[in-house]
Amino acid sequence: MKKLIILIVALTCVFSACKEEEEDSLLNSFVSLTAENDTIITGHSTKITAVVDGENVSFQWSSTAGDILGSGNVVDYVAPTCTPGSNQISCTANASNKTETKTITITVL
Amino acid sequence: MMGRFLICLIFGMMFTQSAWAQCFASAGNPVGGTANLGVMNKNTFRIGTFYRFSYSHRYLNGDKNYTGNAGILKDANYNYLGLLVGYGILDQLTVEAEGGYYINKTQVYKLNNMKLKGYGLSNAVISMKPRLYYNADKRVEISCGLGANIPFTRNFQAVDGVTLPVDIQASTGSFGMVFQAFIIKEYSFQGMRFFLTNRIEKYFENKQDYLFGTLYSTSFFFSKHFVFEKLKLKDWTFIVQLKNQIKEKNKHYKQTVDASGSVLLFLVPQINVSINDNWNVSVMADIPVYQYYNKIQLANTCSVGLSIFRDFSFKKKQNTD
Repeated sequence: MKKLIILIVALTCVFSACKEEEEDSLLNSFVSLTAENDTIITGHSTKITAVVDGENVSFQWSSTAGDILGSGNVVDYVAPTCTPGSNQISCTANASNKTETKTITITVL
Repeated sequence: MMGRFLICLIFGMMFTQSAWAQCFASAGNPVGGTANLGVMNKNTFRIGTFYRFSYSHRYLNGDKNYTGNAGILKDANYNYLGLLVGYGILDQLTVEAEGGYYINKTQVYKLNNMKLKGYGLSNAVISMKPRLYYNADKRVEISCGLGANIPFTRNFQAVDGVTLPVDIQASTGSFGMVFQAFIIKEYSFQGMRFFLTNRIEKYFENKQDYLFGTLYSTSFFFSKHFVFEKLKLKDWTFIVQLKNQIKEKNKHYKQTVDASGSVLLFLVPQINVSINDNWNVSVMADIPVYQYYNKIQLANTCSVGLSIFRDFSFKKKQNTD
């Protein structure tokens, strides 16, 4: 019984700590999502930067085609050779108070 | 029994090199674990595991080496652990399940040598394999298999907040079907066997709008069994496989991906040793004989594999006295 109580207290502390960490992140606004070059040649890359107003914001990146290298608010987008055209790159800014997504289009020639 | 011995020989040999993906395709993917042939005896349980390493570092444009700057990858590789279990429900019907785990599926980019690495559980295939024809006198067996390909997850993996490219996703995220056919001819006295196998893998579109091209894999095997009385491990089998793989082009958002799909021919030598008549250990290597890739794609350079397999019979022992 004593061990069970200790376990419950420990788990409560862990979850409280996690929650506290989440509360530390704050997103006021997703200011911009920009690419160094919005038109690139297949196989080439460009830097993409997400600017947010907030604290401890985490970022999630995805693209309709092509690869994203790196992490955080600045990543490299590498255009695929096989799919020229308009490729969308999305960035989602996550904080405990809100989540916001922006998308830009990179034209791959 | 013919069936029991045959599966020892071929386990692990048909792991296909399908580059699921696209464009500058990855090192490939061992989608098929149902490498064993024929059906099992009733009440026989089989378990097998295999390891495979594959490496790719050169581009091909058609069947010619490509040395231009178009390729974004420096190289790619994967390490894969597979597991297969089977059970003979009847003498004419076997049920099998196969799956695996990618220790890594890595792409190294030319850009600052940056890496992306996927890992995790791959697809699972559950198959029913009926025996269509068996002639004990002529030592001929014809069987087939029909299975469902089930993805471990339908969502793409993200690492450090970045959704990984489809090439290095551990699971295709798409359901599919697998059809297999096996023809086996044995010459018992000469210790020789011939096999002809065919495997077709059809995928359906996944949530991310990728449709992987259908894979047609045909293999011809020749095996010769040797008994070396002077050695501690006496039972050895040498196998040569000629493997042809045709992969149709992929589609993304309903558009055909031109730089996908291939026609490949591999020579796969294998050595198998039987330990205590219970365990079978095999090593194998894929040697590319001919490779044709549509447009420019990263081509497989080499693949090696190791498999360990064992059958357990739950049949009551018959008194033969």
